[in-house]
Amino acid sequence: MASSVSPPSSRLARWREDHASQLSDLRRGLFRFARNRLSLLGLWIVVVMLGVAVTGSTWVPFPGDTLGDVHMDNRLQPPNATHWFGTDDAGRDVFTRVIVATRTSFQVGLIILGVAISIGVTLGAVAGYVGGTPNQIIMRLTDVMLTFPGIFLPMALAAALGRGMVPAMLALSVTWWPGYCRLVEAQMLKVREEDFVAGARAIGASQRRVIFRHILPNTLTAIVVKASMDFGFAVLALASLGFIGIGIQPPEPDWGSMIALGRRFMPGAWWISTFPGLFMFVMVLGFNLLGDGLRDLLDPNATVK
Amino acid sequence: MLLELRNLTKVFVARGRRQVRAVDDVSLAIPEGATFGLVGESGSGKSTLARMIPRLIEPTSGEIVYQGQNLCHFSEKQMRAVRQEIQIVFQNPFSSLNPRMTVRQLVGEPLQIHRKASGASLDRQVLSMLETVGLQPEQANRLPHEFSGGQRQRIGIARALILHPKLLILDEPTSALDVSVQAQVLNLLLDLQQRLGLTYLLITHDLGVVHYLCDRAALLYLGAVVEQGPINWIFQRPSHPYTRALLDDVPSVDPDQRMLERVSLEADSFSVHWGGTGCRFAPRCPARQVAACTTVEPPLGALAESEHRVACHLAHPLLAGESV
Repeated sequence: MASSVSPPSSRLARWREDHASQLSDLRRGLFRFARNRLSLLGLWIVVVMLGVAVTGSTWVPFPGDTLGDVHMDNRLQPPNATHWFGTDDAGRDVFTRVIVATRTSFQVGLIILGVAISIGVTLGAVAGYVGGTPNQIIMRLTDVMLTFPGIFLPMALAAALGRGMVPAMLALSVTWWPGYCRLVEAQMLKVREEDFVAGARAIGASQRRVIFRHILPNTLTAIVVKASMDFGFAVLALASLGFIGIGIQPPEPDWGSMIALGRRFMPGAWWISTFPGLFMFVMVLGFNLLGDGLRDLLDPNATVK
Repeated sequence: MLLELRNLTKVFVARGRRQVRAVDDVSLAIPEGATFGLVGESGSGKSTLARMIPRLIEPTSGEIVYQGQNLCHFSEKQMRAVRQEIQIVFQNPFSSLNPRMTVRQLVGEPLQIHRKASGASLDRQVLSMLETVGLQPEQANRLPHEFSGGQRQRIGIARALILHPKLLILDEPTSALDVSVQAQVLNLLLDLQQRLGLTYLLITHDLGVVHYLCDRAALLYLGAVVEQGPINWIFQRPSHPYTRALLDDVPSVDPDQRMLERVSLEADSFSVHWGGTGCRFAPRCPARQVAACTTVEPPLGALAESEHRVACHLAHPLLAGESV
């Protein structure tokens, strides 16, 4: 019997044929990426961390320790066979808490960047393409936002919104966009002047088409690279809020609040602060290395040197 | 006339409110089916003029009359329809193609935008257009950076032609290409014109190209036309010192002609200042003679052959005498 739908293998073959150029670009990009050991290391760190974040809560030895269990008889144990990273002042397993906090960090990081990129790209695109007064308004607002030193604005906002994960997330999300806004605006200004944009207008493309098909795709590399580097810093910012006590609240685990807690027991019970700090360090490093590698991977004009 | 420009002017306001008259009171007429050459060195305003015709740059004043209609009064929506008939091939094939689109997408996009075709019929048209400009259909899925300059310019030409335009504006289509490839592209353009009945506005700084392709030409200097007319008149009786200088700079393979009274321009238009009064070419003119040159701007007057016009006091001694 003749089938009207081509079998998947031939459809795949046809897709591969239609996208041969993109695939070969991707292969070349992967080649460049793979030749750089540091970006590979970054990729590994991120993949392992992601795996830990997704599956962590199912295999940690003491899941109850993230939900409010207290074992006062077992407090401040140094690292040993049962408690690999030791226990904290309430007898909770530090390993369990560090692992589970990885998931929270990923979730929050993703949401912060998601919101920040949506706001920043939209505003930046408008500012960059329209120019004139809208540009002035948006960019001056961006400047004002960027003048606040680092964590100060999200801190004030989070404190005003109340304690907990959601306010912290919200506060970071709405203060994280200016970097993207400025990046996209600058990129738009650059790409807008390219001949192919005039070319698109010359064949009668609408403004929407010019922006979404011709300009924004060519700013994508910069956005993706910045996002991957930013991820680590978003996690860091969340931890900072936790550290000063206005982020995620115990007993829910968070690297920042764990470090803050451990501070009181330094240097004797060094493990309480050290392990969450180490995880945070590795994660930020991983995303930064990955970001560098992605820049090589995504540039369509880069050649193999 | 397919296209007429009447007193077209573009003034750019630079920082500090300094005004730059990139195109200054230019009037041209291009008959249907002709190839009109617009010649000038860099900075003469030729690209600005080219981009004003489909209103990618808004003119400051003047009229763009296309098939009897003044495009300056058209709305953005009406312009989009007109842009089907007026297409541009850009100078630099390395920057005029979106690096993230395949050839198929690039060439098919105009059809999509104007809802002329979709699906299999779009595909068919794209492939046949690729063949028309001398590209392989198998290359349709490639990205621009996989092609050489000449091939990219063919993609640009295919993209411009797929809507079956009447007027093709060629903005220095060969100046970014290797010399060996230039001839191929020029021949392709000639061939296409004959087959499709196109009208060309060819913008270039290369008089050799103009001689090879054009029926008529205008020479642009600092935004204004200094000489225009049928190509034979311009090449046989160049009447403006600027034209003469440019012609003398065209390398000749005829050894007898080589050393004959060559006039060369040394400075370029950026390094010599024209104050705004008198002839704009006077500061560089190798033949400056009369007082009027620095005081009165010479009008673009007709010579004995009325289609041949030139803006030079020396070519119109009577006019100059009267106005001094």
